[in-house]
Amino acid sequence: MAGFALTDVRLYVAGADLTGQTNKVDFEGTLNDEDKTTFGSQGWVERVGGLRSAKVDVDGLWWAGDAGQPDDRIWADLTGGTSVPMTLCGTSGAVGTPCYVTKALDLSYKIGTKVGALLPFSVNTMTDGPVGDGNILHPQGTARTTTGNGTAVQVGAVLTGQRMYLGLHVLSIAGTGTPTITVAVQSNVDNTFGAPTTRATFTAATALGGQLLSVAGPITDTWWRATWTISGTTPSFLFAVSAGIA
Amino acid sequence: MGSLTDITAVRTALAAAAGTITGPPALRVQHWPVVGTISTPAFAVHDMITDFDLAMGRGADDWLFECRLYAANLGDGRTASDLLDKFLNPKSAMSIKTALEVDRTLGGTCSALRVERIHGYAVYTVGADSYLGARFDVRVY
Repeated sequence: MAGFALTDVRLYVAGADLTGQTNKVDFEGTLNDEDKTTFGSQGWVERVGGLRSAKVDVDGLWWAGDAGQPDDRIWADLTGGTSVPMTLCGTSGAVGTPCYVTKALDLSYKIGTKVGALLPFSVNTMTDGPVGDGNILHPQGTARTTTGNGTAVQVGAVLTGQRMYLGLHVLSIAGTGTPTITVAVQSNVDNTFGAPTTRATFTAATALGGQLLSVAGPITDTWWRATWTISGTTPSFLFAVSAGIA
Repeated sequence: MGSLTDITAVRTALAAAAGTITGPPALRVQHWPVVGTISTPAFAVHDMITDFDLAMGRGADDWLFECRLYAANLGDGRTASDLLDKFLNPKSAMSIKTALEVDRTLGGTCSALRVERIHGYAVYTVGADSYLGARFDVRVY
């Protein structure tokens, strides 16, 4: 992908799509630098990579009032003290968009500005566990009202020692009769999905929220897709599914 | 915060808010473009400057509307400037700023609004006539 103006970063945190309320996102992955220098190192420092970590710092426009707004989401995470699923992608969030999928723990939350200005917020998060590098399997903007299968995406094979990390963000629910969606992720040797294997199934969702699952390698299939089962009376769901290998 | 979706609705709502000033004399709403003879005092929404992409995914833009008040014909002399001052004074019952900020969502047509600045306390010529007036910068999200 060539360089582009950053205007459409998609950020899903649990059941909140914070895209339209954020205006700066910094992702920084780090690898600890472990010194393995010995007397036999010929006078040069020798290094080996140690533990990996990542942080995601986000700035935006403060807004509150429902679970989909930044203040409600961040405050719940900060006071809850537990990490929540996060998916971050640099562009539209369409199927196949490159993304990172992880769990993140909010560590600081700052609000404030001078009189008359739009009220901004900033939140600093650290990842909790691996960061999967992959693609969006289901876009947040496509409403689903009936059971169905998503588009095939070539995320890649999962090698021995790796895992496929799968994120689900249920962002909007409408309908009556307890609208319920159960999302699963399948793999296949090619994009026909002639003989798919269901690799993971998320817990049935009846409320906004996020889930993160992982599947251990080796998996030689390179094609992946989301599937969903929907029940309820005139149900309609907006949700995003992400997949990434770590 | 949502992105402003209907510019015409915002312009109409700004004018309607100014039109709630009963005076005396009551403020009239003049539609842009302002041509011909103006029945003063009159308020019109003129120019705008837009800065796109305050947030990701077209989540918010920054709209700066320039509104103009034509208080009185220049020939009214001292009376014209006294009347203009009443509209400009934020403590006055005829305050433009107060009237525009009564409902900062303009009936739901925007997320937020603030009258940021008064400037251009000057003579404005429209057609063959000259009026004493001022400009208001209204920032809308």
